[in-house]
Amino acid sequence: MNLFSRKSVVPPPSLSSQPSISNAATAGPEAFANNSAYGRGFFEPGAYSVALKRCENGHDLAQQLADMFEERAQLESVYTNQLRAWSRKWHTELVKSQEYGTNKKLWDQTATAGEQMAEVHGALSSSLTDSLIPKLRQWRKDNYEKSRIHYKKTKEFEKEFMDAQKSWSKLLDKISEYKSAYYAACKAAKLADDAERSASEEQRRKLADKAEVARREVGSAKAKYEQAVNEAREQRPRYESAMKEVFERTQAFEKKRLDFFKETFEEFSKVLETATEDNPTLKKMNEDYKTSITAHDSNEDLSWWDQNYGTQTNSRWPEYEEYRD
Amino acid sequence: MVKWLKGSYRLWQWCMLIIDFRFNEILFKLIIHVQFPIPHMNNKMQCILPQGQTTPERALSNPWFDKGFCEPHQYRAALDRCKGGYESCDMFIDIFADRARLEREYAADLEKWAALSIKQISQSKEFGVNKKVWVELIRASKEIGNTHMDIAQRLQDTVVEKMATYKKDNYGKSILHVKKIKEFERDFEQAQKPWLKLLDKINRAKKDYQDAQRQFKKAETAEKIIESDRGAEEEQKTKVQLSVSTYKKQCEALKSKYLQYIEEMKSSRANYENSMKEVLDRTHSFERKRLAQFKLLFTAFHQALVIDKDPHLGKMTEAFTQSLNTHDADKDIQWWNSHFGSDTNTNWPSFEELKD
Repeated sequence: MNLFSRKSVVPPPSLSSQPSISNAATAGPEAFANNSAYGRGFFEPGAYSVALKRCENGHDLAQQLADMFEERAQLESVYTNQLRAWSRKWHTELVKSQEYGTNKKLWDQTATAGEQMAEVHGALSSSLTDSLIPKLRQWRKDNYEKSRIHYKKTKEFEKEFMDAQKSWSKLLDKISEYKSAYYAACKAAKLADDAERSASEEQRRKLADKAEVARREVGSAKAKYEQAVNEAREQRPRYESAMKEVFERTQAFEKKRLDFFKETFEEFSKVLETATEDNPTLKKMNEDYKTSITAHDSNEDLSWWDQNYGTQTNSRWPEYEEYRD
Repeated sequence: MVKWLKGSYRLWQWCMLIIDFRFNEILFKLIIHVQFPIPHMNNKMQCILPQGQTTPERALSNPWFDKGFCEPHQYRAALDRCKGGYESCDMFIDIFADRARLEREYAADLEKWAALSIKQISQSKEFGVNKKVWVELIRASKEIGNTHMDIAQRLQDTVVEKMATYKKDNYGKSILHVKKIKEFERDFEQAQKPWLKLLDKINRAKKDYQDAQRQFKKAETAEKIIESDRGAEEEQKTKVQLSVSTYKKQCEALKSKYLQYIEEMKSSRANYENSMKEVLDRTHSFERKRLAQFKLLFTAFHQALVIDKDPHLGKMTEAFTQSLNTHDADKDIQWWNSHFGSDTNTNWPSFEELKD
């Protein structure tokens, strides 16, 4: 076995073909340079914390998504209100104006068209505010319950990881301890050997004994060390599967989040499409407007005017007025 | 009878000026139509309440309403209509420039939101295909902003600018007034000038004649009194008789002059009417031109707003569909697993011999 049985890390092919968005990542799992968790083996002590972090991130991301939608809803609401104000203001102005007849009616229709457009964007804003965002928040609340300082789910996972890793950690500690002991014994044996070699005749015998003791120490320490390593080898599959089992649950939790995000994205795209295409209000707006345009009749307007103010009016012509007492 | 009606009508007009215009139409319809049937009020015309005082549709408070067009100064109604048209052009430009601005603001807001959101997401802890899809969706939704920028541009080019050009071409101004309106005014004045002179003459002749008649009647009465007065002297009787005959002759002369003017009026009436009508017809054409332009631009407005087959929106839908199809939760999970999860190469403990 190599000193480091870890292979050199090669970035998976899918990553290099991804667009700049992930290469530009400065945080999160894709920012390798900044990510201290990157390059460690999952089963190494404490490495599972990266899975816990991912769980917590999920909460923040859900929050971010909701915030983004809220801002959008707000923006739409502003536009809606502006359209409404425009429509009302000019409707009032038009009514006070000098305009008359079918021309005036058609002009009024353009103001109404603004109102109808406002309706559409108002509906967009409210479907975000009334349905999409509350659903998002509810989902977040359901899945990321908090008790005073931490998320319950995360704490749960943490406990399980710790349980699975407890005995393994102890084992690793033991190995480390025995290894140090063995190395120390080796060093001591070497020293004793050197001392023996470079010593004078009389001392040789004493030192030879010491060296012998040291060598025996080495032997037993080595045996202990090897035994510990073997124990680890034996325990490994059980440990691995225990860790994996907890890990799979975090994976499932994350998948749930990803699926929910996809659902939400789909709904958002549908909301936008409803506001812009095949929208019944927009259709009606077009219909109403077209009807108004065909009703526009300059001749009718002019003849109305003529009847009331023009040559069709009855002028009084002077006539002979006899004197009256 | 007619005079009394007209008098009461004028009084009513004055009253209505004081009451809030908002109730005018209802009151008008309730009361006036019951008591004073107005012959030319076309009931088909729907009024949009409330209105300014000289709006054509406001009948009651409009000083031009119900007067004969050929009567003195009534042509001002036609001039007011021209002026109204000019103001309409201005109002038109205001309304639609306002709308274009509104659309531009919305598009700008969308742009800002999209840019900010994408930046935030790039700096977030999201990863994988999920992140990519998130960003792509926002980018696609920017197309709506493009649509509205186009709408704003179309409004500006095909509606607002066109009206500004029309206004400049047709309502050219000299320092104080609109040239066209001044032209019409002059033409009307010119057509009406001789007529006004004639009317003046008639009125004066009428007054002279009627004054003379009054005097004559007085003289006649005096004559009757003196005739029946036994104590009257002959001299007085003669004097009175003389004044009677003088006045009578005067009356006859004045009457014939008066009648002559009336005849003159009758013969020149047709010409007068024609020349007034000629100018009026020109104002009609001018108005017809304006109405046609308005209809054209209203249609253009509609076209500017139509987003049925807008290419941006089509693009957006396509981008959405494509992006959503690439969303792959399993892929993301796997990727994470191979970088941070159970597929990572763990350093397993092994026997490590001491190295010097």
